[in-house]
Amino acid sequence: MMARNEKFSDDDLGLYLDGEADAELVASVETALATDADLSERLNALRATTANFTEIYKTVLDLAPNAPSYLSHAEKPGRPVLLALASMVAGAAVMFGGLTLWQPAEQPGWRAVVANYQSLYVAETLTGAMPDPAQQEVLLAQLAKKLGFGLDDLPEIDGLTFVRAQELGFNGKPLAQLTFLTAQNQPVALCIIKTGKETTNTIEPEELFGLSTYSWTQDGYGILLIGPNENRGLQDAAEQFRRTFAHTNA
Amino acid sequence: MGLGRRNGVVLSLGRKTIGLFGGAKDSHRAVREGIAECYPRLWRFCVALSGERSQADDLAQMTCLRAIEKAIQFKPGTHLDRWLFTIARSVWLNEMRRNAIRQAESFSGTHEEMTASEAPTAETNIFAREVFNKVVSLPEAQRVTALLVFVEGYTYAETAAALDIPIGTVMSRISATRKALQSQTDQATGTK
Repeated sequence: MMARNEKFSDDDLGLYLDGEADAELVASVETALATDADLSERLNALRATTANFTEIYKTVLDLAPNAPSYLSHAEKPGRPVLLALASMVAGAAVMFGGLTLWQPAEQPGWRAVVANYQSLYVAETLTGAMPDPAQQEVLLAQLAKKLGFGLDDLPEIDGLTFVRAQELGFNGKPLAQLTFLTAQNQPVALCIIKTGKETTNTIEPEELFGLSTYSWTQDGYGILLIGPNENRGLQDAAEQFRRTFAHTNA
Repeated sequence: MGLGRRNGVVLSLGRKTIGLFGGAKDSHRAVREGIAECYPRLWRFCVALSGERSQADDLAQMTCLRAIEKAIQFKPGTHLDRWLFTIARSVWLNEMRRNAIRQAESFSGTHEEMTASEAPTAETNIFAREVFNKVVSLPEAQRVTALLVFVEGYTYAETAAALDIPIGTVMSRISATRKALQSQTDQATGTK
């Protein structure tokens, strides 16, 4: 450390360098600088110290990745976030008497939240977790009971390996999340929540947060299959789940 | 997630979405279009918060998703980068920090141990590893404050507001950072 110039502390000089010194301190530092070579040296040393820090963070900036493409996609049609908002206008929709109520304006709340959450999944989220199949069976049965929706006869789907079931929650309601990995180790989730809506016979495809989603309603339960974009198998998988559930939960 | 707390109203009619308030649309566009440009500096801020590359990746992405989700709160014409930093800090403190610390194996309260256990697996590039070792040579509070003041050019008052701390705390952190950096330099140059 430098020999101390008694008149100014390092903190005083720090304030001066950061442009935070009051007018009086600025004036006295600058007056002293005119005659005090030591002071000028101390200031230079302090400058060099912060320059080291700045240099490290310039390098960090060089290492920074670009924004993931799904972030710019996420909002391209102006839809996903707006969809999330749309849940609150279900009531408002009633005012527009002509609207049919099964339209997406009602449900997207939970779907957007699920998609947002699922977008954080990477292969490692699931490849690390290989739970005991027997335990998973028990858990599935418990989940099914709590949800009131049969999950015991899941179809075998080519290219999807079941990993685990979890109970999540949305607005105080249980939400079943069954996770799978594709043959390419991409995470896929099947989510089910009670919505009280009527059965839909068609599957609605959508892109939410850069992920492909396929959703439908089976006898009061909203069902959503979500996975990587541009995976052709996903829509077929959704169709197989829909048929199975139509059979087992009709 | 607080999806119920929204200021704007949007009607979704099948495939067509109509914003009832024009401001909401502007906010969304400003956030959507600005994110890519701000992303590297946001990521750097996340590095300062987390001290670790993969945590910074997760935090930066989570921050952007959160920003898109609550874009309606963004006022176009104000600093998007600063707004993103505020969100990042809140996500870090409220959602990620505890888990990040738990995940650092054999963590017992010192940054050195955390670095030693993480560095070999998290960072294979030697050059990058050195940089990250330098980053974690200062404690989180100091490096975040110093990043805003020394690198991002925030005033102390702006830093205090961004980090939600008193201005006196900014001053003492900056002072402590200068001392720590000085002693690192002294050690490196053998002047002490």
